[in-house]
Amino acid sequence: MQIDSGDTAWLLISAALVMLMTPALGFFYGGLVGKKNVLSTLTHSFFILCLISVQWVLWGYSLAFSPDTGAGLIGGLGWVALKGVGFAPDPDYAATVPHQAFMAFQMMFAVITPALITGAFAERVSFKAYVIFALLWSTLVYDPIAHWVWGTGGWLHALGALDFAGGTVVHISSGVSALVAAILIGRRLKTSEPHDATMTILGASLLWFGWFGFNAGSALMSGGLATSAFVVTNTAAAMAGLTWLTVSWIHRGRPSVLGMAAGAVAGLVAITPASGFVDVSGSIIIGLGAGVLCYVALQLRPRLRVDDALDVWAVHGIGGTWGAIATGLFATVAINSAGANGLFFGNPQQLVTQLVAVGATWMYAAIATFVIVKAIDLGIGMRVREHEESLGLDRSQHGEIAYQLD
Amino acid sequence: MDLIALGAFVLLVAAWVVLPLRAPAVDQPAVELDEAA
Repeated sequence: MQIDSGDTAWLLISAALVMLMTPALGFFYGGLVGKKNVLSTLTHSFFILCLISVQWVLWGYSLAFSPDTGAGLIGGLGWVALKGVGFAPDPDYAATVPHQAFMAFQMMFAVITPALITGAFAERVSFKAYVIFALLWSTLVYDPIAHWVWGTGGWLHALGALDFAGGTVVHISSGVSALVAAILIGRRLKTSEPHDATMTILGASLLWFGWFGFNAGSALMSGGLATSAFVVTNTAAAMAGLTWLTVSWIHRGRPSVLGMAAGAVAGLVAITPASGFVDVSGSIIIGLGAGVLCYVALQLRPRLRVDDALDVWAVHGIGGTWGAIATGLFATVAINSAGANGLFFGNPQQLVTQLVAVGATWMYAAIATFVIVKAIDLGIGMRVREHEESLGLDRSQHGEIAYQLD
Repeated sequence: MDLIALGAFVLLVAAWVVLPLRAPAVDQPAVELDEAA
């Protein structure tokens, strides 16, 4: 196999763009929490960047992407510590880039996915419990689902499910897990208002920037498909931001700034699985749907009395579900001949396949997360004590504070 | 699909033109700039 320098350069730059998304997520979430929990929220993202970077090269990549162990459920241990993952391309994944470049690109997806969940239990989870949760969840939930969808021999891959950049693997898995974790951990003693909206807008902007690597990088080569993914990603994000702002204006009487940022993120989430398969009109409809559906889902939170503190389920769970289903509606081989047509292009079976992928991801993520959270809670407890929560996690968990304002 | 996409965008633009901005509550205190800063 011949290595292409342009493809390799694009994939490595894309990996760096996706890496930036995890600290960007920290800022997005950090602005939404109270000022006594800013550092702990940022730490959730920065810590996981360190943790999963090591987990991934040691065993995560092997479980997710090494040859299937037989049932389409999990990879083997043959690539532990990157044994056999060298500089020659692996044609099963990316035929024109070094295998390690593909591994590094996938690492950044594995990093950000558990970080997304942290918004659900912000302001009340014990750091020690969080460390264990992150490691177990990545190994037992992310790695298997990544194998199902993207791994050679994965059962959803074999079924023909389309997920270009992680609608099921990243967003449904984290969004559903966030909901389960929020239910099990319970409500905060006291909810807080966003302490710095500017930080959240900055975080959303950096997420949007990094998402070009996430989606256009998933073409795994530079060229037409990457360009198409870039354009539809930007379009869907923009349309969803405009839609959320408008729906909030109709509902609340004023156009919400934070809502526009959340809407853009919802659009980015929804276009993720579809970004390599739909045209620009499809991306506009996907953005529109994300803006409406995720806004409606967010309104359910107070009614359900589930304290998913930063609305991970509404944005990632529902946005990812809509995106995965919409891929089955709007996908066209005119954009990607390696994909499939969706319902509106004469192939209703693709929608059924997408629904199977969505259902399986919802069920497995929910059940596995339930078991993990329950086990940790029984062992060392997921929550901090009441006085620690009142003091704030920055002081009680880290002994530091975000702002010296005197 | 192209018409749906175009129609959706036009509807949003139309909404911005016709939607009123709800006035702030009368008793809502104004935010003053810190003179000392």
